[in-house]
Amino acid sequence: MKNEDWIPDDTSLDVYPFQDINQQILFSKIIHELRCSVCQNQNLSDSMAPLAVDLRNEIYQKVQANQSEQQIIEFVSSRYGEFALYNPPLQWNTAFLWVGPFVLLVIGLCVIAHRIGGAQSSPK
Amino acid sequence: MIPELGHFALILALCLAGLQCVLPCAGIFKKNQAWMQTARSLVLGQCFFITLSFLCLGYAFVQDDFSVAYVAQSSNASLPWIYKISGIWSGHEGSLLLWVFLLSVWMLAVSLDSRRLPLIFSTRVLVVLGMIAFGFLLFLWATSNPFARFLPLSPIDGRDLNPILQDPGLIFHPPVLYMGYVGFSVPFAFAVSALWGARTEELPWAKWMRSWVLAAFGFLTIGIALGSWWAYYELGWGGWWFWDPVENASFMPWIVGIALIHSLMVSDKRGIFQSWTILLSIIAFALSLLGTFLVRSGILTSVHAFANDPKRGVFLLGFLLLVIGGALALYAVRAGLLPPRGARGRNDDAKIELFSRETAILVSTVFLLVGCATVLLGTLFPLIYDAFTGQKLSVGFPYFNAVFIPLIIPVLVLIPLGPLSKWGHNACRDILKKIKIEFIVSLVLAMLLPWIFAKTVSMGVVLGLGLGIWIGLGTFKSAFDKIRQKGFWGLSKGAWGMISAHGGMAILVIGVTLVSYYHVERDLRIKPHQVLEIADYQILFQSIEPIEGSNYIGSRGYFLVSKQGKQVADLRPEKRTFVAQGIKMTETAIDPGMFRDIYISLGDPLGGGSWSVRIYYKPFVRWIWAGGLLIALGSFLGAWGRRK
Amino acid sequence: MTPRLLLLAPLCIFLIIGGFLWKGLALKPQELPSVLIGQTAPPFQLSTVEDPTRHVTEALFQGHVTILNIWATWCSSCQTEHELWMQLAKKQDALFLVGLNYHDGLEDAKNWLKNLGNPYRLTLFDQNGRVGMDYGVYGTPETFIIDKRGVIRHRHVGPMDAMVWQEKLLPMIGVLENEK
Repeated sequence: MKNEDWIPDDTSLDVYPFQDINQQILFSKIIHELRCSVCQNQNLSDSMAPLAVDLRNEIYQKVQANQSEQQIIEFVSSRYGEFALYNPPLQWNTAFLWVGPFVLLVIGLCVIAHRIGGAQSSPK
Repeated sequence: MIPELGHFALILALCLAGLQCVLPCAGIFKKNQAWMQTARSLVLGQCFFITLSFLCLGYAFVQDDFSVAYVAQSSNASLPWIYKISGIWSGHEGSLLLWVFLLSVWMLAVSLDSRRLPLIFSTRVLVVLGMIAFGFLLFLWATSNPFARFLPLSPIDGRDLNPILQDPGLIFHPPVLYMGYVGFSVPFAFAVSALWGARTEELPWAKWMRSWVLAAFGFLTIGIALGSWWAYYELGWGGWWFWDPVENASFMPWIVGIALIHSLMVSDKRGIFQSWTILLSIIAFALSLLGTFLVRSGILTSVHAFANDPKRGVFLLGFLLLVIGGALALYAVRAGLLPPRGARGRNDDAKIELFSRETAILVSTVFLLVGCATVLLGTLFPLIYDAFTGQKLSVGFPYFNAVFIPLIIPVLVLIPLGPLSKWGHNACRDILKKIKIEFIVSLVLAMLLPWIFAKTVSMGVVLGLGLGIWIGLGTFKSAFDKIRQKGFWGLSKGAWGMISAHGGMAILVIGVTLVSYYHVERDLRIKPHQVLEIADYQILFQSIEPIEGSNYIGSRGYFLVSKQGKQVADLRPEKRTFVAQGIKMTETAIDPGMFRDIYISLGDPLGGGSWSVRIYYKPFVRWIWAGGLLIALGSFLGAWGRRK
Repeated sequence: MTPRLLLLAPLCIFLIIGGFLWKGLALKPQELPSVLIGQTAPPFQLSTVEDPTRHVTEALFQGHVTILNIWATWCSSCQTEHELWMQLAKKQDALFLVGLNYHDGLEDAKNWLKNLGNPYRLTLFDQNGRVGMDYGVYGTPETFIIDKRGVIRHRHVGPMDAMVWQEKLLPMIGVLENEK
């Protein structure tokens, strides 16, 4: 995330210069949320693997061509799979992952409610 | 010779641990005092032999004994001596020996301290610890012998320590972190002992457990903060938390540790939430063991993973299942039998007032546990997904941030309210009266400050900043009230501990919020003599020179950082190639500050005199670790205080 | 009074997690299966290393089973497996082995094939790696098995070894040959 005030006027030194701040934000978001398949513990922004460099270049061109985030993510995942996405997709087989926390929260709230409301002081 | 001595000492320790499981335990069943008392001597013996073993491995490293396979793997003749020592725990076998060594230290401490406890209870604790020690020693001996030799053909020189690990951080991070991980075995042992004797006894185990939990938590906090700080300056990407599986494995016991500390407070002072406290003790240690398992089993892809061997994974998992499964089975059977405790023989399920401190703690600990469970879910989900679909999936920071942060907000809101509320009373009106001003001030400042300094205001910043200021002001208020009541020197160590820990939390939250929203990153292709801007700073890339170190060659860049014409810093990042394995590494240059870091990372030459350089502006990032250290300080103060 | 059943919950949850961890020990998290399996091989238009004026498209894969081997001169493991390809090409000349030179220089590739031998029917020249990217290549060498209709059926990551070839791939190729 960037603060607009601090984007320097001179972008000539940037490896991936953008004239439009929204494109810059989108580019940064995408490359940070993608996982490098070669250096699997790095995101696409930090990885120096040749594949990562290639993909960054591709994504840079696509962002400049005004492709949507959806389209670009699709481009990467159709070639490298969901593994390449740090943000797991919202689909039926990841339902457990995304719904799970809600379920856990509800269970937690029930526990709290039960303990505060229902429990009675009684000798055993 | 020395390695063999070390190996032999290990075997002796294993035998003593085995005895420690059996003999005092038999003493408990046969009510034989003498047998029970052997536990202390056995612990002393174990500690002696494990220390000896550890020193032998250290000797092998320092003497460059490359006939020992582990030394050859992790060291090199040209390695600076300090890294030869820290190389001891850089790999799987040695770090496991470190684990066992630290366990023996904790066991010794417990053994010495337990003289004031009833014999039967302290014996139980030492038996449980003995079982854990036995399991790990067996694992070491059977599958991960650090003293295995390369005879008859031993290498002339070692393979070298991974250059990323050749760093001061490596010296401290693992030992301190392990002190925390291993330390949670003590509350675990206390909890199991309490369950074990639940049918027949009524003991103030909560009071006894307190210092151990706080001490372990303190170490774990420092360990995690060190790891975060190390990753920040070492890896070159300016990140301080990655939601990496092994990081999560240290974070989860930390979260549960917080819940445990507070639930324990209720059990100690009010005699309720006992079964909850015991469950949390078991879960905290279970997560410690899980972390140990994850990093060595190859089951998840992680930066931290050691070289993997399925045999080791099987053993560790079996051990985990046995220890935790056993404890949870005991819990299922005995938790219901925990005797009424506290002033009026209060039943564990006694009614609690809606706006009392008990409720605040109940709600916080439940939300913390739910948060921990979601981190566990996210960490293990790739595994679950693979098991069901055969496909690979990643779960990274977007998930964890989206799911964990909302869950933690109620906890953060409650932090200042806890100390201001009372035990057993509905203090709703009182609290609101006391804290009204602080609440409003937090809200106002949260909206005003970003607008003044950054000229933008976003929901996330207001929320995070607001919560941080809220916690800070609320803690300040309760500190002020306490001091007014008891005088500055009248405050107990526990009270100071609370102030430090909660205050540290405030600083941590503010740091995390501000650095996440206001950090700036520039990825550049620059030549010497070019100037670039970041935030309000101008940075001149002066020159680039070749360099040479004891085991590497590389290049160093010279950067001059100025603000409004005045020079602020002289930064010299390096790019190194380590000759032994040809690994390349970047040595970042950071200008640290209380309110911002300027961070430069040198990449590769891009041809034509240009270099790839990354520059980061990181506001308030040091607040994260400062907050962590204050939390740890608070923990240690609490551990030190009130020993009755 | 917390019911006895509820006290068993932690144990049950723990055992379920333990079960997954147990299953997990048998899985290999670093190996990434190709997402393209079952899909038609992505289209391309490339020249060849042997004859830079010749242009080839994915129509090359039609009508026979193709073994597509991705390699590069800067990749040391590719050198390791090259010998195996030479042997296989000699032993089984019915094999339709196609190479794809990934992210490399034309002269380097030509010299490599001259010095180490050329087992391929032809070698596609993917200089900027875009075709490799379309195929989801992430670590050379990689070997794809493509069936008669041009559908990708399998991918092997890493150097090919004789055992994997004999036990896994050869039978698979046999089955695919018999498909219509």
